[in-house]
Amino acid sequence: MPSLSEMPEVVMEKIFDKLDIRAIFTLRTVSRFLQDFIDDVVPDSKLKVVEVSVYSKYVWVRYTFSDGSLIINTYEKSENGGCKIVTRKKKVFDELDYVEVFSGDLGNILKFQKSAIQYFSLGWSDVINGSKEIEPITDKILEKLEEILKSRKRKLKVKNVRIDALKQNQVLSILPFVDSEYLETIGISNPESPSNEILNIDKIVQLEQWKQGKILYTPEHIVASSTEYFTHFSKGIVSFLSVSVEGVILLKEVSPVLRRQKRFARSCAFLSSSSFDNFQIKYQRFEEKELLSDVLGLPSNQEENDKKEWIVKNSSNTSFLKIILTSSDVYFMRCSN
Amino acid sequence: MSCEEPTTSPTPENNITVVSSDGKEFLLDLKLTEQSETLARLISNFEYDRTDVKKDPVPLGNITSAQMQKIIEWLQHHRYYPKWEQNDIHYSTSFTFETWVEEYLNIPNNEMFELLNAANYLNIPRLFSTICRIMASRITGKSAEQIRTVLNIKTDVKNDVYTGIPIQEDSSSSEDGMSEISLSPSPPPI
Repeated sequence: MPSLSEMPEVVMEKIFDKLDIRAIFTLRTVSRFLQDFIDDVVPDSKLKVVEVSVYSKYVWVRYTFSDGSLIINTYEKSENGGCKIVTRKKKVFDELDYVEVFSGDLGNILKFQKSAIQYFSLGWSDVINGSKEIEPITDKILEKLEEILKSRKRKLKVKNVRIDALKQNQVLSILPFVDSEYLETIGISNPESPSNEILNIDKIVQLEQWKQGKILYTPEHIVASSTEYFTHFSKGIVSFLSVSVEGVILLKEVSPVLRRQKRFARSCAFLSSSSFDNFQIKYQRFEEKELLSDVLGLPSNQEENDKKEWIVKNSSNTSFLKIILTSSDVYFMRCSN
Repeated sequence: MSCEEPTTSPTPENNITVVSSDGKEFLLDLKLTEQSETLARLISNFEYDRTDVKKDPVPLGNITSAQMQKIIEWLQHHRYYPKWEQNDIHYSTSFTFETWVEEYLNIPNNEMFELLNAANYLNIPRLFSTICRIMASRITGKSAEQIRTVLNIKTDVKNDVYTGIPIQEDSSSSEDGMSEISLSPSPPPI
């Protein structure tokens, strides 16, 4: 009597293609043959969005799949210190740790993910009482996540990533392990925002993922870095403690001298980049701000509230950039003419 | 089917003969063979669509006469359907089917698998994809034990892998597993 295990591989793959990951995981427990086959073929999880929120007492997760179906689970400590999963129904595993169970499930689903995830976010919630309780839980999850991502044969394809982080290492648990070819947006948010803590990003800016990134979103962190690592982004927001005239000019255009020194991953900055759209720099201090007019010329527009505007163009008159300076920000915008 | 019967009677010009594994001959309208990529390619390679070419019967060694009968029923029903496209709405993972299709595929699992194999061999994408979807719909939402029944998977030893204690027949066994996205428990030995 024919059965599934006698089907040609192409037939089985086709059936798997129409199953959601839950059915595939159940199928995997049906027989040794199916377990081996599934582990060998690794059918796609077809995840589109992963959103994780870490609370002090539980972890919430929502998986959205490409067909629109959802899995929403919370993992919390059971009355006996084990794990309680609240999904369509409650399940209690008294002998297991809830963070371990959550990390294990996330690992299973990511292990099977082949297609590109549109959005991956890992956030910390209810930090009103400070993040002291949440940070160790997140670190434990990140440690597992790094292990999972490292063990994949191919890097995880993620288009947009958002990570809540207080330390560089927390970002480094995820970012180096996503496929830089697919990555577009890098978001590093601050769970304790607003805060004046400075985030060191010296290792992050050296990553291929950073260098290939297109959009940067780090409005709530004051980053310790130089503007030279931001010239390749086509959109973004970043906060610095202090900026200089040189730093701002560098974002507009990399000077021929520096270009010759080959200090830059890309020799072009905002003005000559074909993909540039807009970029915002927030600053707390701007050293010798008034000298900006010496370099950019007289502002084309100047308002009483210390707001100045310049329109700059490249040498061939084909590209225009609007630079707006206010008491707290510098905006760069692509102009049509 | 009556309304879809060909209006012209079969003539040697617009037919080919296929022979099933048990030696039965079937006269197939060339219009019907367009749905099978395997047959369409064969007809084009041997130029069987030309009237001046001598047509030999085509042996289909993998397909029984019962399966051939079933497949012809499918081909006739879909005779006037537009050519199958990969991105057809029916290609999606939707588990709703035409009433005709549901009745047509209301057959035992072993016959379903045989038909799936035949559809794969003859490369009839619409039939192949539809059976895959039906199979998937019969697996989705079921426990491991229920899937074993659906897929004709026999586990000779019905003992727990770890404890050796015979497993209770329980239709909700997957619900007792870990979470829904767990890779445990391990499957029982066969």
